[in-house]
Amino acid sequence: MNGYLVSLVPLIGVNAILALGLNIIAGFCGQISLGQAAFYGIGAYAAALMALAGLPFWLTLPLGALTAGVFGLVVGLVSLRVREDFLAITTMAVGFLFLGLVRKSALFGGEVGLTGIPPSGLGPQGYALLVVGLVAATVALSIYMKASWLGFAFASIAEDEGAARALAVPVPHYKLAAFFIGSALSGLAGAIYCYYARFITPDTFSFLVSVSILAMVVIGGIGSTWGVLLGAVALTLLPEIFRFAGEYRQFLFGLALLMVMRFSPAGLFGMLSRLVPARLGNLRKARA
Amino acid sequence: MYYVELAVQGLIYGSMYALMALGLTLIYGLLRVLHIAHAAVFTLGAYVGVITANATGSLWIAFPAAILAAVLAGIAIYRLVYAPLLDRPPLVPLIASVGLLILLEDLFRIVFGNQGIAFNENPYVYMTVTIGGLSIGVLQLAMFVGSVASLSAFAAFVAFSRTGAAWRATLGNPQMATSFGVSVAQVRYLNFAIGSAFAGLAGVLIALLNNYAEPGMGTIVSYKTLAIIVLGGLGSMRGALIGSLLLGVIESYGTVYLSGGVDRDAIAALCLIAILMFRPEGLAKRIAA
Amino acid sequence: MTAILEARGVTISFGGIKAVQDVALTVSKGELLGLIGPNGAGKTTFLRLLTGILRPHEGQILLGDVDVTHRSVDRRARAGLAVTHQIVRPFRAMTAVENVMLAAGHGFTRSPLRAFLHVSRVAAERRAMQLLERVGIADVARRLAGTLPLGQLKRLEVARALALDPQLLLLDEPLAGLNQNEASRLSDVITELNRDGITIVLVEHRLVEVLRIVDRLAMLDKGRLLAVGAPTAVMQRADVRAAYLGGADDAGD
Repeated sequence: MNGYLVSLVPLIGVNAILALGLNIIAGFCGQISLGQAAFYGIGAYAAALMALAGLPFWLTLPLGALTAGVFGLVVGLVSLRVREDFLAITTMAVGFLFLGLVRKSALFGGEVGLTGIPPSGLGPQGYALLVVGLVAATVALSIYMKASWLGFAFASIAEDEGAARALAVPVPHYKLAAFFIGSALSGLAGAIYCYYARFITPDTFSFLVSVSILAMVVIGGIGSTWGVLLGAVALTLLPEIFRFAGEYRQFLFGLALLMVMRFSPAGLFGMLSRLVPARLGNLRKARA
Repeated sequence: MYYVELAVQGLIYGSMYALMALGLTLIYGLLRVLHIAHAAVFTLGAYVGVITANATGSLWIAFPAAILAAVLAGIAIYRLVYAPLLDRPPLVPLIASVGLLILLEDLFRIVFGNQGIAFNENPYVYMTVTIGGLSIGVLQLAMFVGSVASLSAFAAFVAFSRTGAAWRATLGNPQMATSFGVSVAQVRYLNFAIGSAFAGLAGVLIALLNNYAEPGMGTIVSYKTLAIIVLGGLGSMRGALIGSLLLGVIESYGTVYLSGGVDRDAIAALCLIAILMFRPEGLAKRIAA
Repeated sequence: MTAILEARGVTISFGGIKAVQDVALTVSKGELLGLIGPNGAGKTTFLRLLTGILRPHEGQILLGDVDVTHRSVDRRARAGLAVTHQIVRPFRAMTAVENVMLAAGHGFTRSPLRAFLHVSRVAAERRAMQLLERVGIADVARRLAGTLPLGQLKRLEVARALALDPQLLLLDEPLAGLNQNEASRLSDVITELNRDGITIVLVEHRLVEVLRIVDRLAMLDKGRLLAVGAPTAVMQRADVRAAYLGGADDAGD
């Protein structure tokens, strides 16, 4: 691997873990979140602060994830009070609240953010390998979860909360679980990013980032682990491959979101599996 | 006096939020779509306003031009994006709307540049009037008066005209439309037209106040007005109006007293989360029209 | 006779109007109780109070010896109170057998952690297939629920409820929308279930079918319990007849 590719791997990994995390909340459990960048940010800031305080790398990573997970639980509590549209706006507000607090706080470095984060000590190659491993673990977790009774119950909640409750599924606990796991993964991604960039600023966790994460999930095919992974890799790489697109990255995100929703809400993976029903379709069924 | 001044400032911003929130409420009330891209219509209004004013030198042309552009954009958005998606789960039009907002915002950036565009001349920027000992910017006053006037005109239209009555009935019960001789589709177009006109007007007013239009000017307004209509109890116009003015005033005081802890734009989120925890249905119970 | 379900002075009002007022009703183990009433009598509201979708403003609801008045829908379901919906609510993206499996796995879905630690669906599937056979739709087990006709969906609702191993089955207008043939076949299934020892409360509009199968009849009118007793005795009462003739209609409330 040359240096450029090695430098891309953590970035792809961060996006993949973010998208897979949101997929657990939105795809598996059916709860929309327009504020996922906040948990990404919480993980990054938590890891950065701990790293700056001298905690070792192998400890800050899980602790960053845990911190984000706990905050996810709090937002999950809000999700118990509000549904669908209300929840979308509430989570969007959570994102802005996070930014508003971070920007004004000296602890988090205000507008300038935090700098001077120590290196992971693994070197670029080693770090890329670690990230690949974490992505693989997240994919495995997603696939296992979907096959387990947890995924089964999630699917029922996503389709009809009331009916799920009538069948003895304790829906609030499940929603909290989804928000905890999904947000913890976002936090993990944040911690990974923090050691990758070695400095973080509030802008890295803006509303646009929440939308980009959603775009990866939706374009890949909401609910489908491989589709979402594909969506994350594709949307991270596209602007890199087509350098000219860098300028229009945001425009393309918007366009892609709009077009996929308008013409193929099941996502590109969903569309592919319809176009190639024999092979991919069977694969999907086998997984479901 | 200082407190009064803060309250007045708050009401002025609140009136602008009300213009935006009312459009969103109209659209949500009828279609159950959270029209996030409403912010792009607002930004379009601002750009068209600035461009027309610069080209013609007349604000009297700029206002109608901006409103017209906003109305056309609103109708096109309904026709091309929402109408085909209405029978889908709510997530689908919502995400499409987010996509549309991102796309249009970036389009403004690509076409008109990162910095936005300013009025060639805007003689009102520094003008103030003194009312009852309070010194208020002419443009701020114009924003308040413009908002209140157009919202009142709208209220009068709904309350007293026959079309207004039909429209009100349809909001409560779409099937009623036919008995008034209008189709549900017509009422939907009308809602988008009215809502977008308000957004266009708000756009020009804000552009005048800031003296320029910029690509991202809609995002924050969008999130705040969405928070407001959720606060107000989705679909309730009264709730949206109260929520708008309330948020304006809270922000105004909050900017002074909370400035150490959160920035102005996060106050709406704080209000939203605090109120939802206690009243998940928002401030007002849902009132049909 | 042991009481399985007991409503004590249950009252709820909406906007000042009492939709259900001071209703006291006991369901005994093993019986098949019919609950009838004209449109707007409060049947659906009363049922929602029993299942926990609504909480009463006054009164108590006991399941066995346990006061469940303040328990959520899922906790009541877990405690043995299963319900079928008047308007069917299948998980359309799942197959028929998966719909039933989810309920049959109620031991696994008790908590997210427990659910996370269990993968095998074999036992639940076996149980689900038995239940589909019992309600007579085993042949469509692998079809997506969204593609099934109403008659089969009504049966699916019953199978799903049975999969909870309930002490008490609340059937909310299971026959509504079915043709005569389908309706009488489903009421036969209901009778069989009751004969096998399942206590059933049947809320239904189709009097003929109700009178044919129930042991006991309760009649709600204007939110109050007007009469309860042997079906023939109840139907002969002048006030019951008056209430029905006054507001006879076919649709549910």
